[in-house]
Amino acid sequence: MSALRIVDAHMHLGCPWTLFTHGWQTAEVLRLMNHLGIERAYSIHHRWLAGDLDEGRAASLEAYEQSGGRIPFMAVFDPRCEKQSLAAIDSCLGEGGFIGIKIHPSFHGIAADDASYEVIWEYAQEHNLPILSHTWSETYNPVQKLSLPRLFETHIARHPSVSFVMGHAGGPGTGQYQAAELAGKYPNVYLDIAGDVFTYDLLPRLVRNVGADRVIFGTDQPWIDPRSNLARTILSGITDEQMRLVLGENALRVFEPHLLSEGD
Amino acid sequence: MSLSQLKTQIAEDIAALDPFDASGWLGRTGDYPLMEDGSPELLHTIYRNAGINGALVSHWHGREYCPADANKLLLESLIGRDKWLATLTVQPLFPADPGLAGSEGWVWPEQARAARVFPASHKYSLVEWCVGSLCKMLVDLHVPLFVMHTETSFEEVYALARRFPELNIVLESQTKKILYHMRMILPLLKACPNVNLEMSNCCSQGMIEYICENIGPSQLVLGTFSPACDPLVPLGLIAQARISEEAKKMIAGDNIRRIIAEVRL
Repeated sequence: MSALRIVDAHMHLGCPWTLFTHGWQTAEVLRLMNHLGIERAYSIHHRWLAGDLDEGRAASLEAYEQSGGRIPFMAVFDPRCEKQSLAAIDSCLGEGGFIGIKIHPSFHGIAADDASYEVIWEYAQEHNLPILSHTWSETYNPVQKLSLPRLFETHIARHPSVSFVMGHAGGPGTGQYQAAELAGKYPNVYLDIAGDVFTYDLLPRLVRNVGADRVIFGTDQPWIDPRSNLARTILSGITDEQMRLVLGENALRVFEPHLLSEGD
Repeated sequence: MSLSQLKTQIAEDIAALDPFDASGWLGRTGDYPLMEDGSPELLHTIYRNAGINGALVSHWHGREYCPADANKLLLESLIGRDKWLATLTVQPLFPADPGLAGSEGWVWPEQARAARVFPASHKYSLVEWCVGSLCKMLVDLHVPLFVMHTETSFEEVYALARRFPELNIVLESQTKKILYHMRMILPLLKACPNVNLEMSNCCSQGMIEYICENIGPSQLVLGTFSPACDPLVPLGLIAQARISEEAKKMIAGDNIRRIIAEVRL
């Protein structure tokens, strides 16, 4: 039996600026990863999300080095500044630690079905890069409607070779149904459980609905403490084989397939 | 560590906490669109699987429709469940609806050990001239007052806690994100030792360690908001926290047990 591999496939580095959290510095993140047995974590740097492209890229590379290669990173595409975003992503090609692209329709204020995203889907297809997007349900927060899972369908259907991860599995409401439906319909769609989608029975339900090979563990730290999602995943009652897929192997398959045989 | 070892270790760590849930729920609410209807049987199953040994239980009907009916339904559901205690929905004593605290002939029920207000939903606020007599009654009974952060303001909670220092207030972290508000909540806890923070949604990174180091573990209480939410979220957070075993036990159950043990009916 191979050793258990835990990969946090959706987390953030850097100061979360709008809220107070404790221990978001990279050294603290690494300490917590060691405490919890998390082998690797995939970061989306807050500075990159906020539009500081050069600083975000530099900080992501620095954290990758500081972590001894345990914290690879995704580059952020902001459709409001397409050329600069693509240039920053271009500069990452060939860099160790660069594993994919992050989009965030709610944060950037442009709905997921907008044509301005087409360029990044094309880019991901051309360079064989996965895309992770924030997805959510309709809630009291009006910007979340920009990231409803159903809005991604045109892009998903048009780019079947692009592995697409729906962050937060569509959120805590009916967006979750939309996400599961799309995962059932398109083999290139995965759902991650990062964030505060604390719905009872979440993981067993997702595994039942879309299969364990399509569900990915993530935390969304430092917004959400990784321990909020780890114990509930391990004690969720899914089988050991399903657990291995969810906790690490699916993330490796999507983002770092060259590492998949390690530890087997 | 193997997966089976990890499962065993976490389950044993949680069991060692002797958890007591300060916020279990019957009924349902639209705030959690995917939740199953909270029947006593479902709640019992969830508690058994999570290793939760006792609970303060509430009924969503108390916010969603009629508090008096909710309290009646809740107390009926508790019959034969001696490890569950009731959190009654209360309102200002004047004007009092029939069947609620403040109405003629009303007596605090033996099975109830806590009270909850829904000021925003029930259209009032926690100002003293409105809820002062209610708070005085709760202080006399040593009954703690629960309120969700979405139902009030931190300014109101602060003022109430300072005006009634003997009133134990439990500030609940649902039904919307509380993580944005830690810059208000931490000073509130520090200034008001009688304010306690319920943990079900208090999930931003490192907060449990920060509060234990800078305020102390005595003002944190386990709540799960089962069956809408997964009890293993706060239980996992507490069990895997880098704090003393004594602090973990306090947060997971001893703090709320101490508070409700003081109730004098």
